[in-house]
Amino acid sequence: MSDYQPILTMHAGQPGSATRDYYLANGGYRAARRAVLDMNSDDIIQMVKYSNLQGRGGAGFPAGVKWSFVPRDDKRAKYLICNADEGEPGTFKDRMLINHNPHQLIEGMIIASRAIDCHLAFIYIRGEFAKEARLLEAAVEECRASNILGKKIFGGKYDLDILVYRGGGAYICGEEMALIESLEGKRGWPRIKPPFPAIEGYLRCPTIVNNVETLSNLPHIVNNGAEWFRGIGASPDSPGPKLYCLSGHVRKPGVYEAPMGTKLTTLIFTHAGGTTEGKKLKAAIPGGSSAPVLTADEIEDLKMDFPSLTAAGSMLGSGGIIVMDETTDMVQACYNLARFYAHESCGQCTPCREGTTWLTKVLRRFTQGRGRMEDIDLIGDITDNIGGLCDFSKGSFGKTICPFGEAVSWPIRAFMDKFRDEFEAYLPKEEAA
Amino acid sequence: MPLLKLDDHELEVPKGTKILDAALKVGIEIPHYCYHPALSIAGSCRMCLVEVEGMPKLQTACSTPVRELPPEKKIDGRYDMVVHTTTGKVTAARKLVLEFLLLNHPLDCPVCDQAGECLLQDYSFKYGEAHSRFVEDKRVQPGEELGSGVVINLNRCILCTRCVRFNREITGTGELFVENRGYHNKIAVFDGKPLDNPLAGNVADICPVGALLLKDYIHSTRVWHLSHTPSVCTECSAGCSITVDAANDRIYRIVSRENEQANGHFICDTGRYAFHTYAEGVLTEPLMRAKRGWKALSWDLAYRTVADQIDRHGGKGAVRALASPTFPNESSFLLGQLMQRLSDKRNVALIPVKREADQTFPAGFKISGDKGGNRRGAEDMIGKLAAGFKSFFKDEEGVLLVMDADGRAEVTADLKGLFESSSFKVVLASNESNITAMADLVLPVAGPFEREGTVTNDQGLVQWLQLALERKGQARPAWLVLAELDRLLTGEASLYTCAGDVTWKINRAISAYSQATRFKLGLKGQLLTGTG
Repeated sequence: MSDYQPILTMHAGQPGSATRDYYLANGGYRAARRAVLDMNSDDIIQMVKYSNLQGRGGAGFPAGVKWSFVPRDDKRAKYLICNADEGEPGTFKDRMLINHNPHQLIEGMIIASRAIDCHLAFIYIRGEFAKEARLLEAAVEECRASNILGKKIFGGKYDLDILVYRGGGAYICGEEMALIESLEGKRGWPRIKPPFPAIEGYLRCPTIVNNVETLSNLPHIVNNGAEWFRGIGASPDSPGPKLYCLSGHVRKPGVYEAPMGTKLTTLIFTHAGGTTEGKKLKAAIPGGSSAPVLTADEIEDLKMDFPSLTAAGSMLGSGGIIVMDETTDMVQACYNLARFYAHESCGQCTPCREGTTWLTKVLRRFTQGRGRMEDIDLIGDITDNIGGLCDFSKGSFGKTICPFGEAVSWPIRAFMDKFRDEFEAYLPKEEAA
Repeated sequence: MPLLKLDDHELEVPKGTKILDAALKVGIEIPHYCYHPALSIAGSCRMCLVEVEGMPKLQTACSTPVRELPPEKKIDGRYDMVVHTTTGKVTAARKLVLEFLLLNHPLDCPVCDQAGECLLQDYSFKYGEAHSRFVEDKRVQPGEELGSGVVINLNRCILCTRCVRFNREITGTGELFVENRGYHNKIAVFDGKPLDNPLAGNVADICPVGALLLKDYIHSTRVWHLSHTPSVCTECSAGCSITVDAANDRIYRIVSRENEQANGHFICDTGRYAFHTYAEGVLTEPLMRAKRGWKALSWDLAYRTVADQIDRHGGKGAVRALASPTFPNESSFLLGQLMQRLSDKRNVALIPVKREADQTFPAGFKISGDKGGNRRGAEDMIGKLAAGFKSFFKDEEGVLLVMDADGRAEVTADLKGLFESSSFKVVLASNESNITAMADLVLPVAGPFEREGTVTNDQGLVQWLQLALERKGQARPAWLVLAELDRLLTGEASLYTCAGDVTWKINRAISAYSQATRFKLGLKGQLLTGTG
């Protein structure tokens, strides 16, 4: 293992790390105090912009730039929402951050709120995370009791409160527009963009939605400076500490903190101890189940940061790495994914609602040995029709309201293209001939 | 204003206009399902995808606003936005959306009531593929009753959510919602509470496919057998524009007809289902009260009986009349003229009709509590009338000439007194009612959907009531009966050959109606002169 010292998870596992007193004793809330008392909105936005902190939820959009979209002289209230609806298969980092250091997140939220001039922020937490929600509520309560949240926090002039809201446990509510709808008490159906939430979000007011990990980075940026942050990792364009979730066929699955741009092979073989039983690596999904799968050859020398993965035809996404060794049946894996997406499609728009289930039905036939040769092309066609063509260099070409269409199409298309021979092997004999 | 290039059309539209609205304005068809002009934008059917220059993704025309570019950035130096609706990308996208929509659709057009006016059918024919690549089993769900005479065939539903938005935005009652998620999505009533509002029937009108159906119409006919008559509803004073769909001299259904000045896009269920009541107790010949029951007369004999009774009971000066707030202006106008010629006394009033409280819905749709649909017109025709008629109708003998109010007349004590004091009661009616029950002589006249003429709603909008059905038996139009009576009694009446002749006379006689000519009314009507 390298000599990298964890930043986000430095207190993980320490007894009492989730309490305010532990956090304060270890230099907690210094950054928030500074942001509230000594910095103004522009200072923070400039600093975060310069730090090149990219959103850790999946899309990798620069956080500072996102904040700067919030209209300045607007009479409407502004809202910050922390997206803790972590539901991407293979991803479990936000939960860990909340469990071990909820105050780091709250401090990050104070800084972000200050940056966009928000006085009421929300943590939208996945419904299943009952323990984490209680933990956050307790942490917020602790903060209220010691003037870290509430009126005139840190003795300054700034008011801020945070509310913890538990979602209903739908994958789609991790999409920011669906999340906002859900937070408003409506059905979690994504809204049409534009207007983007920074212009019209929660209650039609300017709203910023940031991921737990993104927000947790903020105290460290304020404490150590943007220059320090840019120095972490392989490239100043995509810097910072990153939590990687390793699961699947690895000896030591779990969350590992490493700098941006760490090699995927390092993560699999050094951090996670290699594949179980030392079997040959076949493929890995690098960024949560929505990221196109990469074969063992493609993984060679691959750096885990946003630009490198985009160049490799996949994406860093949430950093959920699912490792598959040579025993993996790729058709079954693909079917498993398709089933998940068909189950979680919100059903609002036609291509996704109908297409995901169609895919599942065709793939199920495959796994039952009732596939047809033309089905292989059909699957490719259906994915194109839902999510548009797989061409990352030109951006997304989805035909759906939200990126879910792309999230289902890309991985399935990648499975088809890269492991076509396995799909063909599933064909009944008379078809294959 | 931004200059939009839409295929070959160039048009200036206000900034923010949606591409689809602009296309509709110039007559370019962009297929769509979830978009409805009266409802909020859903953007979910994905049928209206178009190509906008400078945007990598296809955009939904229903939700994409026309933008304005700074002068130096204009496309081709002129345009703010260039939209293509017929490129290969667009037609391919339409094909794919249709393929998706038809995956689980039963394709049961031969037994579907929507067939012939179904957007799924039309667009599939025009933009779709003849064959599907779907070889799996289709989803089959049982039909359900939603309430208020509306049923749903879930297999045909394409989940455009127009009905859900209608019940949230227009009626504000929100009975319908989307149940479950994804593939299992279905339109259902929330919490098991049935669809229950006075506008419920509209959901069947706005359903672009054959999913939402009206129970009284299911499997009764095929739409291509129906004649569509643009007409006006006279069930209340809102005067909604309607289309009467009839065949074989029978009305099968009434649907809303879009008219921004009147009802917008919708009608209420009272108006929608009213035609059923007029199919019962239809009067087909003049009837004279006999010792036992009624005796049929010829029209000649009936007219002569009226003249005879007038002579016998106090003469022309003693004739009193009640006009009807549900008949077209033409009959009220002729009744007013007849009464003027008979005597110079103020001897005509309006028959009392039920009044309830107005019902206004969140989006502004109004059901008027005044069930005299043409009250304003009737009052304009015979002059402003006093609230009651007791003040100027003395209890004295004489002939009473009454136009029925299509079963909505209210038998008040005053009205009862008037009937009791009158020596001979002549009632012009289309159906048996509480008023014909008190008559001595009943003259059968055209029913609500058999009338022609103008009606004026409470906002002063004059619309043309078009004949949708043939009159039954010997029934005659009310204006004709009054003209013929006039000629017989006074010998002065003009010769009218059709209701339009009377309208022309009204245009000349009443200044507020000078612009409300048969031809100017068209399909949308005309506001009275002096109202705005």
